[in-house]
Amino acid sequence: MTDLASKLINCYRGTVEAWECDQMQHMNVQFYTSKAAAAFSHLQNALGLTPERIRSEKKSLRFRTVRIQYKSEMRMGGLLHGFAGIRDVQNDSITAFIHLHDSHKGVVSGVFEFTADYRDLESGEQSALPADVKAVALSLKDEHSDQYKPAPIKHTLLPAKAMDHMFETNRSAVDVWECDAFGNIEMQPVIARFSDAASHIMKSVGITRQMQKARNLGSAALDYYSEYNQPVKMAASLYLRSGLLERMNKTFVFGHQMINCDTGDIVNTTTVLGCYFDMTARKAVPLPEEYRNVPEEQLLKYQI
Amino acid sequence: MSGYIESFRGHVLNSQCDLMGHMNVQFYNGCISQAMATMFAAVGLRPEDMKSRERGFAAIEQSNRYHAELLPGDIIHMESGVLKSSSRTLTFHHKLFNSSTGKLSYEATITAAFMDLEARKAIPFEEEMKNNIASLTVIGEDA
Repeated sequence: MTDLASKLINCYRGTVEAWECDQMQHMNVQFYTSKAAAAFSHLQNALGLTPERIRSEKKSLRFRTVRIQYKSEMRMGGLLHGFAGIRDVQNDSITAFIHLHDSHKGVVSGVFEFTADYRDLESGEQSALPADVKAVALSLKDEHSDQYKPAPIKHTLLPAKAMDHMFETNRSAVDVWECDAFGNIEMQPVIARFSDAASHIMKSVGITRQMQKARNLGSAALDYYSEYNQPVKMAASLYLRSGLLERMNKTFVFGHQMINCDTGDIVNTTTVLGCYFDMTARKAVPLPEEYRNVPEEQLLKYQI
Repeated sequence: MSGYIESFRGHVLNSQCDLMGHMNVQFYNGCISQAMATMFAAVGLRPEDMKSRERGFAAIEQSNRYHAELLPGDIIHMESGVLKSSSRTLTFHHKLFNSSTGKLSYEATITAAFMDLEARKAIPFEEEMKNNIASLTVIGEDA
């Protein structure tokens, strides 16, 4: 349902289930994405891409680049509602946002800013935006000056090329239940794999789970930037290759490349800005010393 | 529409659909669970309240009616209200719509008891909650 005055689309309402919370006792990043995916379906419907049309024409909008900011953690039982809006339409690409709000606190919790193009859901080939969809998108295009907009990214972004000092952080296959009706992996399991990689990243600098627990440390993603280069299909074999890009006083930047084992193609690159926090105070702490001990020359930023 | 509020908005995943090609019955209750969180908050019981004061709700009785199937990719939303109340129970009415077609897909009535989670027994509603319940009570032909 679109509010014609604000040009915002009502796209999500729900709660944080107990099983959506991780060991940091807050909603895991993958479930922000699962809720944003539901919101994206409502956004598409508002543009004229109804579920019935998508099923019959086998084409829909697909994310091309996505920036996610985790602004305010959500705990078990928290309530969320979401709005979407169109920022721009250029050629056959739509630039839009989905914001998930903490309904109790009245703040934005999850920010999704993305570009999307129109693709065949079986072949993955891009098509021109249908004229009617483009017309509606243009009618909803707005500055949305009263809505939050992230500042430009200042940290290094991981490119889609192999580099020294990267290491494996996840290996998996795409299961049937992780896919949509067209055999494409849903967004949630993509992010789940990056979330799973986090513990391997910690181990790579020498922090074990026992050490993390002893220090009462939690890790949190603050900002994700992803480029979706290719569709990922059911039964595909995947692995993640990751590396430390940068480190700051309280934050670090890690990059992941998701690789199709059969082809060697980098199907997704994701750069994560993260931090560590005190699990009791729920406040960020200085970056652990183990990150500072990584030799400067091993930071990936010097290979870009 | 008096009394009804939007309690849930989401979509149907392919992984929620069974060999009949439509959303399996278990996931309708998943939608109800999501909606109930909204309704509990609307009644005046927030998650932190439930945790700290050890108060909650427990379902006692439920009836369901399935009007129109939901397919993979369908978008859905739920509207919920209070049909009736007693000193310790609320009977909610939930209506699940296909958001794209506007069609009513499913409705359910659920009676839930307000509980002391430490004593594990039903207790009377607090005064402030009674006002909230009144504003959520569905009246007339909307019920």
